[in-house]
Amino acid sequence: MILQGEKLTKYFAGILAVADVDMSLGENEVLGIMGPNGAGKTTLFNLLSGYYRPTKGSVTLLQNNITNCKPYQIVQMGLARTFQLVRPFQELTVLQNVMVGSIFGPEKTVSMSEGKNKAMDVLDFVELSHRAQALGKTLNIQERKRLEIARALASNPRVLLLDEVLAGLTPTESQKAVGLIKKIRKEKKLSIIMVEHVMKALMELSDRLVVLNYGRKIAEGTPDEVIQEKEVIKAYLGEKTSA
Amino acid sequence: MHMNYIKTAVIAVLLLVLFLIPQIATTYTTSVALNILMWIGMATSWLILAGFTGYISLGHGAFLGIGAYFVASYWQILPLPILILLSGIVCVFVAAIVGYPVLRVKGPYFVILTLGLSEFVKYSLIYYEVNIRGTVGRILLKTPSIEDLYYWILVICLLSIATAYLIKRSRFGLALMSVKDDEEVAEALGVNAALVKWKAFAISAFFPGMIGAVMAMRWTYIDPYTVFNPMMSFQVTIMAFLGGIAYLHGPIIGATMLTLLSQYLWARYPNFYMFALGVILIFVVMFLPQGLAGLISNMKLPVLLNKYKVENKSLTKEK
Repeated sequence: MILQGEKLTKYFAGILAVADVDMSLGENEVLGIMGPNGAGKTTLFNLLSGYYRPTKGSVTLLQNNITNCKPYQIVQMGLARTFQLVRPFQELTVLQNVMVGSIFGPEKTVSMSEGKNKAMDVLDFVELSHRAQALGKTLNIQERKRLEIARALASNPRVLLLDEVLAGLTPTESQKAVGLIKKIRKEKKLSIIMVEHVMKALMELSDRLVVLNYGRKIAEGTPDEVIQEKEVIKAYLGEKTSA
Repeated sequence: MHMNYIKTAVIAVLLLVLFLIPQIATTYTTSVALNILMWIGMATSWLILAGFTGYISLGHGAFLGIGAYFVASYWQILPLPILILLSGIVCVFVAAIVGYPVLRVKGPYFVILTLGLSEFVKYSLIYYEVNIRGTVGRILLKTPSIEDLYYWILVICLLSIATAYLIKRSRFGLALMSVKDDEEVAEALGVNAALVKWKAFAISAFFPGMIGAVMAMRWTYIDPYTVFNPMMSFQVTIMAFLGGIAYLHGPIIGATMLTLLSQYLWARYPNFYMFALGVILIFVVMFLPQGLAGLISNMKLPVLLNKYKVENKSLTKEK
């Protein structure tokens, strides 16, 4: 296992956000996390990437216990994330944005020139190199999403957490983004966890799905198995009432 | 390339003039130049923390006071160069100790906290002077000539500009700029934000410490009310904003303009300077958020647009 969460529980001032969730991620696997609004998907993400300390439970990345590590340490250990609401560095160029990832992301020290070359490669990979000198704030939403992924990729992660990278995109843009994720999968040696509202994309991309509702894991399995589960249908469509 | 040659030439001439001032100019001119250089050094070193990371400090003047008091305490005990250097180093240590908890506070709270801390230092010192030493204020005898002090300030000032310049182009500078833009994202990408802010704070305190040391010899009399006057910090901040904190030459422009203005106003209309300072601050915040340096670089824009118009006729048609 590359990444493992055990009995992850998080309370916010007494309100239960994530309860007793066990999850694991294998080598080169794509794990989708689904669930209705407020199910705890983003909280789970923040627990895995070190933004929240779990109230209970532990996170293990590549045999290291990272439960109490800071976010910057976790990146350097090989887990990179994107943010649901894209946050480019506004006043830095696209290239500088990615350089922050390529220079400070890896565990070893990377020089400016080395980091720059790496950043250009990643920009080529996500097809954003034509915007390298533009300021972060001038990008449109689709470019911002690509930049978000590029920055995370630049740190050479073993695990990539994608937090709703498709949200807010038009169907065509979304199609392109799905293409990019497939390309990452094919060409980079890494495992992916993705949170997504777009069911079709999740079904298409994931090897395995975890379904959350009210902070609890209610189902787990291949996409085909999961959508058959009664609990899942109930969570998404509500209970059948006799009309 | 052409522009670069002109730039290098201008800088070389400027340096030559700065170097020659004490030899050719009157004592009055030298003392004005010394003041300008002192403020440039203050504002540029302030930029290393505030400009690069966005953590606006209103306590920068306190390091000047600490440097001044350090010199006064060891005056004629230690040799001059060591005394100046040590004043800077003491301030680095103070900043490192104070900065560790303080830099965890963000936004306006940080600004207020720095102001409060520098006042705290001032009143602690007053207490010490009055109750333990039994005096307020210290006199320094047999201080070096103004020409000698000028060269010390020149060196410190150039050193602070060079440091800011090198930091801005380094990985360290990139980390600081990413923290300024979005600290949380910077951490998500592997930047140890707490550490780089701490380093920047400590480095930026080195220069005001040394400047305070030299200025104490220039003033020959110091007391806590003058060397820890919060106006020092305010002035540094206003100078940097007037010049433009996004640019390295911003504080240089701002410090030069405000120092010249204060020289002019103090001589003719005393008390009017403070009033002018307030008006300038309001004006800059409302109309010149990029400062004078931003204004200058924006002025290039129309020239570029004209060029574009000639090359691209369709654009001229639309207009």
